[in-house]
Amino acid sequence: MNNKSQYQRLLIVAIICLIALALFSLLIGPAGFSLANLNIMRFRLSRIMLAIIAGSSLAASGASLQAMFKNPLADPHLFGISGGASLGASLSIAFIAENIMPSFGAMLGAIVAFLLIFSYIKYNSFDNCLLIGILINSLTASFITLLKLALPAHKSQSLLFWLIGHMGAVAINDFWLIIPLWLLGMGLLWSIKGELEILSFGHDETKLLGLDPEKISQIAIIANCILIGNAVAWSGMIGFLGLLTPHFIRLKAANLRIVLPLSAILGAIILLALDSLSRLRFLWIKSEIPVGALCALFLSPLFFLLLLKKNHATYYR
Amino acid sequence: MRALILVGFCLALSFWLLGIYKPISPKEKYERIVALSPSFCETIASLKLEHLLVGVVSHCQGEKFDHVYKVGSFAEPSFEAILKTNPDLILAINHPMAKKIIEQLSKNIKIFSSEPNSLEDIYQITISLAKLLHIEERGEKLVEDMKRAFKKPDLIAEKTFLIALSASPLVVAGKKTFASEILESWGYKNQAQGEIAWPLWSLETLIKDPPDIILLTSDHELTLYQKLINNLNVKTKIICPKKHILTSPSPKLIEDINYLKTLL
Repeated sequence: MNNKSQYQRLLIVAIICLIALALFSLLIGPAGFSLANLNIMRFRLSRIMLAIIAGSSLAASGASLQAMFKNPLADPHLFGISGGASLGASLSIAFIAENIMPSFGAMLGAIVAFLLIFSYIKYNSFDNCLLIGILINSLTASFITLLKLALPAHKSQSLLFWLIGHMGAVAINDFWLIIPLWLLGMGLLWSIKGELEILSFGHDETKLLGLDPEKISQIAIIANCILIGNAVAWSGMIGFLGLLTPHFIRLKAANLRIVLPLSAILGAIILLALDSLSRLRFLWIKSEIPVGALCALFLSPLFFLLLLKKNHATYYR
Repeated sequence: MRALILVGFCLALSFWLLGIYKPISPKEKYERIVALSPSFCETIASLKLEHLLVGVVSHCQGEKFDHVYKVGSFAEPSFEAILKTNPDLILAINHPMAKKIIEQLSKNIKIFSSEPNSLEDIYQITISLAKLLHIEERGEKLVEDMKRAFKKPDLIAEKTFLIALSASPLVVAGKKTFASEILESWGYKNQAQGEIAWPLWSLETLIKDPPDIILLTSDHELTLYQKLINNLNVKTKIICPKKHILTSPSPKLIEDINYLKTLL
């Protein structure tokens, strides 16, 4: 993508597509379309909003992390926050499900994981941040496995079902918490998109331009933790979206100023489309399909086909 | 090189010879039983043979099984722990993890494996197991007791229902489960009529076509279900048992069903 007007045109088209898809998604579902049934419309609206928020959060987070770490494999779920959120949800299902939703437990877990990561990068090298994330993920995965084994069968089942990831459990009142966190995370990331682009050239180059790479990294990590924790807490583990969506955009552009907003919108479009599909309850099985499973099912082959056709723009320099 | 080949051949031959087993002949009496699923623990207890259990999985819960040696979990039983109990009979459900262990153990130990999906399966398993343990009469009586307990109670109106296993997401029992089978035989109608056993139930469908009752299998997530029903503004009665019921395909269903009748 060479000029600004081309980028702006694409951005407008993407936003129009998202709005059109959201309206279309409001019309479809197993209960059909009826404006008279406000209950169904309210439920669909909350689900659409969550798909947009979770999709854009995961994709924007993936785009920023891949640029920050100069690594095409950087993924929101590698960051440890998802692991923390999953463990938080698991503990709440195991011990306090009578009182709070697993999502609140997940939010607490994400905060604890974030504090661990942040306290590490405050005093240590930023480069090992992904390793710390992987470490937290492994640790939390072990705890979850132990919980699955130790818990009675019915709690084990609830735990397993929560971990598959789906979008239906959010109530409209929950958005008083979800939207401010999303805006905060996106705002933070947006405010440093130029600095992140420079950071992707390397720490020395960033210092030469008079910027503080440590400070930029810290802000980016705070933003990512907020976005990922918020998304995982309410929609469960949705893999591949954060990893692959920025790659789709990078087939056209390498500049993070372009990749970040377009990834966020594309992530929202993809998750909304797949969630609408999952809502249709596939004919013969008469069950919703967890949207996390659909993501990997559709995105992986599509991305493989695109890779075969196009040259992948580089983002690590 | 030749020496190496010879040593390799000898090793292979010795492993093969060690692997040869005597065909297992049915024993007169099985005295050391390992149950690799909660339903088998309960079946053995219902047949009044719990004193023969030398190993159970950690998911077998209840006073009768507290003192019995644990051989791992239902999903991942431990090969070594099973061998440590020196069993002469292993009772297992055919699921992928257990299958591997069954294959390894079946050379030397009698394995009784099954896959109970319907009420008829539960009856058959009870009778076959009783036959294997030479207590046919007790088995037949237990099946008769089950059939009697599962009969339609009086004064039950025709209602639609969902049997819920998890609140977030809402996972319910499909029509091809024994729990649904019992309630449908009473004239109730399960709304989950699809082919899969435990479908993820659409909340939209719940709003559009709420069932008369949602039957929980335990009181573990009662508050979450109540919140869900309130959020969706659905008029559905939640029936919540105080103990874990309707999830084990065993004669324990007699106790579960008698208790359920008091709730309905």
